[in-house]
Amino acid sequence: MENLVMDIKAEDNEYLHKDFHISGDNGLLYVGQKYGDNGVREYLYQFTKAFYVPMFEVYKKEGLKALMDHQQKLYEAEKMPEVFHAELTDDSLTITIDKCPGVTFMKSRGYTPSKWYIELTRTVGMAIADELDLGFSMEYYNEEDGACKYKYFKRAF
Amino acid sequence: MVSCTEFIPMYSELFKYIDKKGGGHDAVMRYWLWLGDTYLRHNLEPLVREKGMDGAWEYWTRSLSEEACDIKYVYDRDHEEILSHMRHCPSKGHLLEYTWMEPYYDYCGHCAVLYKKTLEDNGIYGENDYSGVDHAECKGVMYKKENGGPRPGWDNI
Repeated sequence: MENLVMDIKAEDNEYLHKDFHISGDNGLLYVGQKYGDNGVREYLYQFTKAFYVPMFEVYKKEGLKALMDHQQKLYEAEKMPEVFHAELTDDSLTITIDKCPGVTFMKSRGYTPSKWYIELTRTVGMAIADELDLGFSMEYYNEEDGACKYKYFKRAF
Repeated sequence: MVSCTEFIPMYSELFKYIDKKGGGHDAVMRYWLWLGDTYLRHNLEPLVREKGMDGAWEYWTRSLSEEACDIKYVYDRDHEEILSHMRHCPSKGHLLEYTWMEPYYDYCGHCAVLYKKTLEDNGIYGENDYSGVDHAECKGVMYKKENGGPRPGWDNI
């Protein structure tokens, strides 16, 4: 039989492996079951503070617009830019998501996200806000489809 | 939401978190074994149980394409061997690009552990050459033991 050969370069394919949503949720599930809710919080604070450093630097120059642009790019990367809506003022950034690309993908594979999946929005949002000396509030989150609304705002104290 | 394109740094920080939380690398190894025996087994096992090495080829050609790898992947059907030369791993490659972050010191270690038990339970064994991981390169072979193990020089792919 002839050999089968796949010889590919990085540029031959787009980097979009949505299975990683499930792998990420598996990490949350493991940490949550082993170390509890505070473990999930510690882990995601560690990740946020380590990974988003370049965005934090842009924020120093551009303010809340940097945060809006950063969040918008996440949904563009997921090929679902239409679900992202933002309202930017001098003092606040309100983001509304019609449905979460991660939840949409996981459910399409018959996988139910863990109870900690929300923390990729809530805790990561809080960690970003803490790092930027902002306030953060989550107005709603729908576990069925990941639809949510959250707000970053300049604190008065 | 954390995008699936941001999963790799989240994964690396997960390994660091589990390592430092107590138990060191052994604790990380337990996580890898757990993940390999749950979600990943659920996806991989039906393919290799039903189709053998053909199933492994099907599984990895899809995921390696979606991960936009720079790789030569060869399936020698006569000898039931799959040889791989990852010329540039996108996962490790991204971590090396994120110069503001320190990757988990054994980040690449997960790759050989995650699938090992599921594959071996289905008669498929593997060897890896990780000598090039500092520049995101590695080689590997999957083979059937009844065929006498990997042929000498497999890493000359």
